[in-house]
Amino acid sequence: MTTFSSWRALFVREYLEHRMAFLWAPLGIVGLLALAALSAIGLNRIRVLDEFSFISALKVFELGYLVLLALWLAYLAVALFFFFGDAFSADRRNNAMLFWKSMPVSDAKILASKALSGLVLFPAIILVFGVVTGLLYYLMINIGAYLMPGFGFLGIVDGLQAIVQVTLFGIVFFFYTMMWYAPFFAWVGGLATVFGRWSLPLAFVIPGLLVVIENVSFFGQGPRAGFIWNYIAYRWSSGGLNEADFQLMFLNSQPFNASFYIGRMLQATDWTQMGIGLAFAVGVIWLASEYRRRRIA
Amino acid sequence: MTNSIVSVRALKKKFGANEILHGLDFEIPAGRIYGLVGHNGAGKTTTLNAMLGLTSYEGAVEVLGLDPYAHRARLMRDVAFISDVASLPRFLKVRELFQMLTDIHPNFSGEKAVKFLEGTDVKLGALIGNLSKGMLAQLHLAVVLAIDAKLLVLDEPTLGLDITYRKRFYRRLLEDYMTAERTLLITTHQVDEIEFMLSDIMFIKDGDLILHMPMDDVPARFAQLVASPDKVDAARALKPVFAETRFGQTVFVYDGADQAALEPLGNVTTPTLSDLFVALMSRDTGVN
Repeated sequence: MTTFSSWRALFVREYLEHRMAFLWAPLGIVGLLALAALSAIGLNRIRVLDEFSFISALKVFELGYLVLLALWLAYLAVALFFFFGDAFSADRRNNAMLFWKSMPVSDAKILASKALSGLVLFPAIILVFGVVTGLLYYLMINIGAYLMPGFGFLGIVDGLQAIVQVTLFGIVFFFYTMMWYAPFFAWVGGLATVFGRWSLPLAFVIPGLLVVIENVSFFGQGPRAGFIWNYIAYRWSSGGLNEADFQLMFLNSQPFNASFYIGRMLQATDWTQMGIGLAFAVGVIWLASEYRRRRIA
Repeated sequence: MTNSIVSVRALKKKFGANEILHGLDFEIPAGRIYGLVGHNGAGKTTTLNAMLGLTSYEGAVEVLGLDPYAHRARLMRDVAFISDVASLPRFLKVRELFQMLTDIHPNFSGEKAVKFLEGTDVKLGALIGNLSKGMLAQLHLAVVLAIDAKLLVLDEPTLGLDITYRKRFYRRLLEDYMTAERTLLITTHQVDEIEFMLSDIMFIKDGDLILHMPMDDVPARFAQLVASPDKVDAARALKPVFAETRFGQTVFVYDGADQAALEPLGNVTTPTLSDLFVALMSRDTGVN
């Protein structure tokens, strides 16, 4: 047995425990999307592509694939919110904590494996589903082009290039988003270690109360809505790309260039805040592990 | 500290202002089977939790040379414990559990675990959450038996199981786990069922260790007398630690009494563990 196999076992454990949210449900969604596509083709209701006939098939594919990845990211965000609210307190159910405490694994390692599963493993799985739906979408576009002569085909070379570019951007954007929002997820997980599933509302109620207290105490002396609110609002917005970048993505007639947008994203990032956020996340997970070390149930 | 497997000195534990353990001192050498017996709330589980690094404490505890609270994860390489057979992860299949343990635990053998399950109703493809309590006990026992542990701690391992499972559980424990190098510590309320296998006994009452001795020494120290009706007063004069009337007969339990002096007063036997438990743990000793 090695340290690697021990980590692998803990990741597998998280995967097996939460495969409903990160495997079966996404599979169901892909199945539904495939079914919807098939029925659209079968019932000849694919004419929606007519509305996009003024732009190239490549652009329709790139934008559609980006939107699909954005939807998968939204699904991931919701699933991770509940994952962190559940996984960090799951061992308290059915006395399972006693079993895990009988294993030669520290509480810090167990919680770290949960956090890393949430921030790396599950996003990677969801990204794979995103790519699969992207490929389905590519097929769909070409079938549409076959059924509607006015709508151009997207060749294999152009299609592959677009898939690689958008997927590359998707990988970086997913990973970046996880790192930027890691403190929020760690906050939910830390609360779950102490309060169980009550962490889900408390993750919002506690900062909300702090904002109210600050405003009641220092009303009129700070910025509008207070320092805490402004800081949370800043952290809540995505740290890299801004609205203009997203508009450019949709309006630019050139093929999608991942390195351009990745460069823009990295350039615009507040790396100090990124570092503070990650340090906060590590600190919260460590505190949660110390709490867990002192509690059996 | 000595070379004992477990060494406990002045162990105290408080929950708020309430002190649960009042300074326990004991040592457990290797190769023994210890029974830790006490009422609900006496402090058995708290003592075990301190030994297993599951709770903080005052005093000094060493298990296999380690401070369990500071080094629980490392300690668990050589210590196995069952605190509740229902605690196995329910979302796993038995096969997945064995694979996970193989990866996590350096001293776990999946092959051994599979072998221990042979002849039981537990199938490798079964979801743990779907197993009955008896099957869970068999599975959990197979898991701990497949760990090459120096110390095995069982806290009420057969709670809620029927008599068949309980007997099978302890039989397999003796057959498949115990060797001269291994140590077993059991707490249970069903003291009669483990009496045959114990080498040492510890009674804990209200957070104090009131008895700690080898089972072999029990006959020399304790005696139970069913007194003849006309000898009850004489028997009471020999200062029993416990007295009660059973089916019209008066039964006395003595601690350190001269056996020769008891012989003329009635039928003298060695008390069973449950008799001794009742005698030493009862708040009303019946002596007066």
